[in-house]
Amino acid sequence: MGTTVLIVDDSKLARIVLSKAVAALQPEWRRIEASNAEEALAKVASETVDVAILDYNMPGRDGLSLAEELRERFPEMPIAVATANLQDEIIARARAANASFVPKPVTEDGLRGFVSGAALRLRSPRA
Amino acid sequence: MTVTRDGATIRLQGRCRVEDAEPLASLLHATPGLTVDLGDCEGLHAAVVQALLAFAPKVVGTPSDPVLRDLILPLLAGERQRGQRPI
Amino acid sequence: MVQFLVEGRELVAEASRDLAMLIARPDDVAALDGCFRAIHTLKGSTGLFDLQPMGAMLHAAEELLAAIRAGRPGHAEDFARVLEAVDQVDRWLDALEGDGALPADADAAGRAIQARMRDAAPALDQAEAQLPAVPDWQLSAAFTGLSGTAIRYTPRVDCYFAGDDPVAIVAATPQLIALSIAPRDAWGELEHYDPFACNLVIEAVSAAPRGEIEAAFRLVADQVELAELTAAEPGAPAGGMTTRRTLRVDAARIDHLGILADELVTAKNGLVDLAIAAEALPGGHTLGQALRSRQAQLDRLVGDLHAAVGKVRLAPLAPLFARFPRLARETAGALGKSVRLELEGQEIEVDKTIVDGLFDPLLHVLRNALDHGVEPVERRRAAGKPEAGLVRVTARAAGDQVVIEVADDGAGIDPARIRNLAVARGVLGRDAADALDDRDAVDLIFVPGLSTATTVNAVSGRGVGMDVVRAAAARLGGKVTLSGEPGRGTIVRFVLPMTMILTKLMVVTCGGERYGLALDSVVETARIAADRLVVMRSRQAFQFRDQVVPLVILRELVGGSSQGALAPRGGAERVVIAWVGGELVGFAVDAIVGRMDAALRPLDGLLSGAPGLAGSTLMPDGSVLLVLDLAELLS
Repeated sequence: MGTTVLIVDDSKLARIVLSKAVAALQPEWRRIEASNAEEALAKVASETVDVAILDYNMPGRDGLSLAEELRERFPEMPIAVATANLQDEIIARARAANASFVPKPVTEDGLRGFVSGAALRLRSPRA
Repeated sequence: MTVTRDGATIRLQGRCRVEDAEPLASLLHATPGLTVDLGDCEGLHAAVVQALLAFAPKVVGTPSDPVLRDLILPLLAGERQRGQRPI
Repeated sequence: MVQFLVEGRELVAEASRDLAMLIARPDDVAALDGCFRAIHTLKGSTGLFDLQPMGAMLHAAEELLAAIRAGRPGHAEDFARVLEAVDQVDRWLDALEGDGALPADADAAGRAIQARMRDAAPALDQAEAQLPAVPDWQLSAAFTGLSGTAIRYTPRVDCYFAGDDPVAIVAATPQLIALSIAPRDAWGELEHYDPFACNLVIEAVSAAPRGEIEAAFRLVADQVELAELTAAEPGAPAGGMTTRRTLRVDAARIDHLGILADELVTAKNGLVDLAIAAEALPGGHTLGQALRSRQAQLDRLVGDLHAAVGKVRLAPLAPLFARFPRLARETAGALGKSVRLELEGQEIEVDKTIVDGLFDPLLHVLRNALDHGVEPVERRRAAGKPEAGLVRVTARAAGDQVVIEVADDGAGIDPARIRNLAVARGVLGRDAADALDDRDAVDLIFVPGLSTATTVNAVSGRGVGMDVVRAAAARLGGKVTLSGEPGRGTIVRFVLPMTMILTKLMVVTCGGERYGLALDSVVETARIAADRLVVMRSRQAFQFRDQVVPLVILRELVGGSSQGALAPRGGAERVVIAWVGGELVGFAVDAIVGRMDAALRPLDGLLSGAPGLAGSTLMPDGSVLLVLDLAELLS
């Protein structure tokens, strides 16, 4: 069964960069996009999403609160929050939601840890 | 592929990533007594370091990366007793 | 998992004790450090099992405590909330012990408590955490003499899945001067090696300023401890605190060790004879003297060993007592009463068997105190007492005994009421009951079937009475009594031996079975030839010194075989001559095996109450030896 990754960012350019980085690391992953939290929630309601990468800084609901909501519904889904803004409070909340961090601007290298770990988790029967 | 087996030697080349821990662990488990060559290694993910500590193979080769060579290699070449903390 | 349960209980007890102190004195730094450590360790162990709700809840508790350690003022409510989490862990440990799994609602329950703790923890102060002067973990010896900041990073088990590379994170630390990587838990069976379960503890020393180090570990700050190293006292253990190290050992092994120590005493006595023999040899004087001096030295060491082994069995009452606060809170809560529990004497050490055997009876008495002793709030108010009842559980040493009391300041027990109850339940006639003085009347409460509760409720029920408590105390070689004054309260007092007393035994065989006899009653063993036996009033007897001693065929008494005839081997009988009830009696046995010191255990199960048996003990080979009560056998 294929893996679907949901990329959520309000900036079209950022989505393209993220998408390319994911494609370089996991070419066979199917990539779908959303430009805000509401759209993202609609996507997960309508199809199976295995991995989510969320921009922190979005108009409306931010990526962290979206991560918290996704975590409620999908206890095992690998979720990453992409941000350049690492405040202790944000780190603590992300930790509580069991979300990883991806530094912004997103690069292939910066994304590698999360994507490798996510691939392992999806493959592993433990997860 | 950064984990390759060449006779009695396993070569770790380039940057060894988290995924490499699994093939390395199965090689070391399947064939005890293999040697691991780190000569061309540029970096070891913690999961790979952990596999090397757990199976404790003989480690040869001197990587050029300073962190790897000066801090991590001594841990893999030094305390050989499996399952024991180097205290 | 068994180990986890045992350690979990201890950590829960430690944390509860410290939290109780903090609720009373929120600025108690030692208690704060203590419960932080306990919760941290507890959280660490949950990662080894599938106990996610427990881990998450403890993590939140740890964060709250960490914030307070870092300088945010801590309030009693904060600690009460953490205590709530610790109580929850204790209940989950009960569930794990019973069902092997957390209850189905664990996740929801954990989250609810987490939420309450989060409310208690407003945004963390920016106040810098004060670095401990010395690390509270044991540093790798390789770091001896280094100065800088010591780092201990214990990555989460699932960190590889989250994309963390702990080695890369540490390698990115500025000015790294030393590194050590070790397994967090022993590798175990490599057959089942899991390449993606992180099992590492990474320790490092960096010379960089603390801020830079913290920045390097920012994303994993919850998994890292830092401590300042000074070259002067490298790796000294935590701030002068002497932590007792403990080791768990199977009790049977310790019993075995005790027996070996006894045998050593006997074996070394043989050296005396050897020394004498050597001295008697031509030119052997010097050798003999040397042997004697060695023997004396050995004597002292064996004596010390003997005493030390005896102490091994002693365990403090603390873990036992520590389970009561939560149970008392729950019971009082269920009864809608307000009760303060005071504990005293937890440090008293008694035999482990006694500590273990005391939980049920003490808990029963404690529940009684809360349920029947302490009155409902309205009645207390009417009686002019403080609304909150007080229950004190105290232990004190008295010679070689320990006295444990459960005292409440409740309604007390009315002797008249007990008399009436005893009559009503048909335990005693009216006259007999009225003839009892108050103390004896109160003691009736230990009679089976007599409970003062006139209604059944969920807390004490009515099924188990104080008779069970008394039986439990007796099994431990102790006594339990009850006293008090109507209106002023009740005291239940246990008096128990501090150690399980060692009894010297002679081991004999009879009808193919081995039995133990108390050695202090044995006068002599002898071979009595068949022709020395006489018949006296239809019983066998024999002349021993200047008196006629009745002979009892032991195998007849123990019912081993029905053939009671004398064993005619060589025409002589193996006889153990012993004092029984003020008279000498000879017991014919098949063989005398030897002597041993043994901790006599009261009988339980099928054999309890079997007449003629004083108890049982474990033989060095692990088999059970029944010990005979000769007086009872003859009666």
